[in-house]
Amino acid sequence: MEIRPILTTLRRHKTAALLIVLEIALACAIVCNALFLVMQRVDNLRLPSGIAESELVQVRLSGIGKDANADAISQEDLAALRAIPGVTHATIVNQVPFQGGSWNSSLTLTPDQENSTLNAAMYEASEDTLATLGVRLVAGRDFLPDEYKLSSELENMEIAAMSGALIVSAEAAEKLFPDEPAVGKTVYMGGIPLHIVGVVERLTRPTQMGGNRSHSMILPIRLNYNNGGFYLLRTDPARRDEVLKAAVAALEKVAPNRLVMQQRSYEKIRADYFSDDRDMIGLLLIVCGLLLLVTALGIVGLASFWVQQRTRQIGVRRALGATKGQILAYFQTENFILATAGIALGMLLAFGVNQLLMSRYELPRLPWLYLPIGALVLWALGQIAVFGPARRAASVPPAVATRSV
Amino acid sequence: MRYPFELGLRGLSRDLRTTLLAVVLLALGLAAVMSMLTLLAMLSGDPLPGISGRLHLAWVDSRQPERSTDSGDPDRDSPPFLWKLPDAEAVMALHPQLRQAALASTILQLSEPAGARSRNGRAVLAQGPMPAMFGVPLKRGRFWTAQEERDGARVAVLSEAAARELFDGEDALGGEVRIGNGLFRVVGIGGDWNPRPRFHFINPGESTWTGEGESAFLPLRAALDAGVPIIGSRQCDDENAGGFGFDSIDLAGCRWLALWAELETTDERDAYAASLAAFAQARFEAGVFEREPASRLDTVSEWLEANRVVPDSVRLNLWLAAGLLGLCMVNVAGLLAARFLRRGGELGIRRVLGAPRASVIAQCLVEAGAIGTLGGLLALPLTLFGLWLIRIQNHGYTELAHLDGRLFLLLLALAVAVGVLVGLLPAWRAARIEPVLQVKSL
Repeated sequence: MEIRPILTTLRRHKTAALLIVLEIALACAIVCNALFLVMQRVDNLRLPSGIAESELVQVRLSGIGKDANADAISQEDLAALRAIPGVTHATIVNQVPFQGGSWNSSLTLTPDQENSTLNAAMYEASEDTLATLGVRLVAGRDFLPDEYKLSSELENMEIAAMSGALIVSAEAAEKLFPDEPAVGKTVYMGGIPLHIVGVVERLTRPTQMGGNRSHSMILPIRLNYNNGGFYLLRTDPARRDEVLKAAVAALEKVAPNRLVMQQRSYEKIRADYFSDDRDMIGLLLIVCGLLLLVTALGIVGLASFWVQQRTRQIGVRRALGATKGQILAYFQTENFILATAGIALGMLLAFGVNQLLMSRYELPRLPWLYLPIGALVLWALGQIAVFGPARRAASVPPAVATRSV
Repeated sequence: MRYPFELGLRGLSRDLRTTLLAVVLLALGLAAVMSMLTLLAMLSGDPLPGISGRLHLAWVDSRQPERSTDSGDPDRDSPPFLWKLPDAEAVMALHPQLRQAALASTILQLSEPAGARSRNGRAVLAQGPMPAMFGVPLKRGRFWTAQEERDGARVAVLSEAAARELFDGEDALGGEVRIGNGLFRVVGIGGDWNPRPRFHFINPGESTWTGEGESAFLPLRAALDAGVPIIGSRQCDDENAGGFGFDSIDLAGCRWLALWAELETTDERDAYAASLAAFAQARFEAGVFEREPASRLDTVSEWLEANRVVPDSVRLNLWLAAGLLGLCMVNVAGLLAARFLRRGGELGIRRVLGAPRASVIAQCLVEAGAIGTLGGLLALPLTLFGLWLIRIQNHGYTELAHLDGRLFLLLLALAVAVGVLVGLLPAWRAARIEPVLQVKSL
């Protein structure tokens, strides 16, 4: 394929050629960045929680006013919940991964240390919590029955007299004691000594704090339904709806006159937390689609114009012996050259846009991988878009050359 | 001038396919930009028009020294604003001539004295004339007086909806409601007060766009006295083990109030800011405040900006929409260039017959402007569709997305401007056509 005649022709149509190049460059820059944003949101959706997501359901109650018996009633509630057919484990906790809002606290290695060593999400858990959540112990043991304390009693206790057991996530253990086993060590929360008895493989924080998602700890503190705790049930994924209904009925039976604030599956909690990301992915993909469509339409429009304008020349070439394939190849090559120029300009633009976004919205740098992908997409798009007009050009009969237009 | 105008408009009807394509492309780009602009305009609007201009949020740094070595700045997305009650009272006492209010917003339970009916709702607990400062619409009765506040009188202002629900349609004014473990007398019934965003007390991590309005307003001392649990953002000194208690609060050890002052003039503002700085300095020198003295006085808009109340994703989407519009414009410019150059022959004849270049350019620009206008008109239904798409997403703020008249005018102006802008390059190119060459081939 001779490239020179194509370049000569393009030089005589500078405005139109420039516009196509510009169009492809813009599309390349925006699509690369938009797809990059999409991939980041997709990464968010895939974040692991460390718990048995598909098997959990949540019921949160609210009492009317203060209830002196809330702790006793919560124990009755739990007994009733565990008796529901299909429920394998039930517990009362203060938070789960990927909910809005979180309880956090800081730990130190000595009682009077100035700066804390670790800030971690604080899970307060009653009996059976590890089994309900389905988190895996990688070192140490679960809490012993006599290690659990009532949150309502802690409120009235002297700080100096407090101490307790603690389970931390593997990453929190690593941060506290980088090169030694954490089990058996003592850490301090506001001066209160806590003995690490176990390490779980992973327990994600409810919300990201200071850029961290994996530092968390579990305290053996029994909440009740009225001071920040909610019920978490583990069951067969297929029976979640049925179990939820039965749970609400069972709780109603234990003590009526309580409001059911929330009843939902864990998957719903997670879906709500990430709904923003999902909507954003949808929106970005629609915009990408529109961008590519618009670019394709532009290429079709200009190519059709050129074909129409050069009908006579095409006829002459055909009369002089050029095959249909050669005419087709001419327009395909022309488009390839324009697309290449556009892509080259677009890559520079893509990094410019990325720089701008990085400075304003704390995005990471665009990985190089997006550039070849973007280039392939736009080359393909150009070839497909120009195919229609090029075929029309190829079907120009040689007789046109002899006709005066 | 009329002739090129006519020619330009007549040009629209030629080669209808590209005309339509250009109109649709412009409409698409304009609609994308307008949808996002509308949303941004709604989100950056004034939460309490006519009132928020006077309100200022005051803050002095009473926090303990930084204890955490974790990377990341915890104040980045939610700057500190909380006060301890004694500090806030001390500052308020320095300016008896100004209206100031220290307030916290909490979720609490209102019930009818016998406990037959109850309702959970948000309530503002305030020291100072908060309802009057923040323009709570008073339907009947009155707000609490300074005297009642000093006496710790248990009085309350209820929202209409809460009053209707608790008193079951009967007259609530003068009636009693149980809050915490005390009985409060209803002295006023307020209308709906629900500023968007909820700027008066921003709980970090909580959406400022969703949620119901405040259903009650209570004087702070009386509420504390009645043991009303305060469930809101708070920050406690270390020795108070803030993590364990859930609904009890240590007045001396915890920061849990926002302090607002009504300042009309810049002089007042400067004086107030200076007195805040002096207060912080004095407390620091007395050894009460442990950090370097720091104070801040924010207007409502500064405070909203600092809290990033407008989500980043909205701004990002506006950039994206602008990119789409840019691409559509380049595209339409290409289509117009093709249209004008295809008519090279007749443009050449016009030039040969004596039409100046300016006239050819005018003709082309009229055609481009007309395409822009048509695109703008078509963009209106598309924008409405886009806003509907935004509304059906559920992010709290999205329900605010509605088009208003001024923005529509902006849309039309933008459309014509965009049309003319995209016509410039093709028109200039068309005017440079060599007339002789064109005429020769006829």
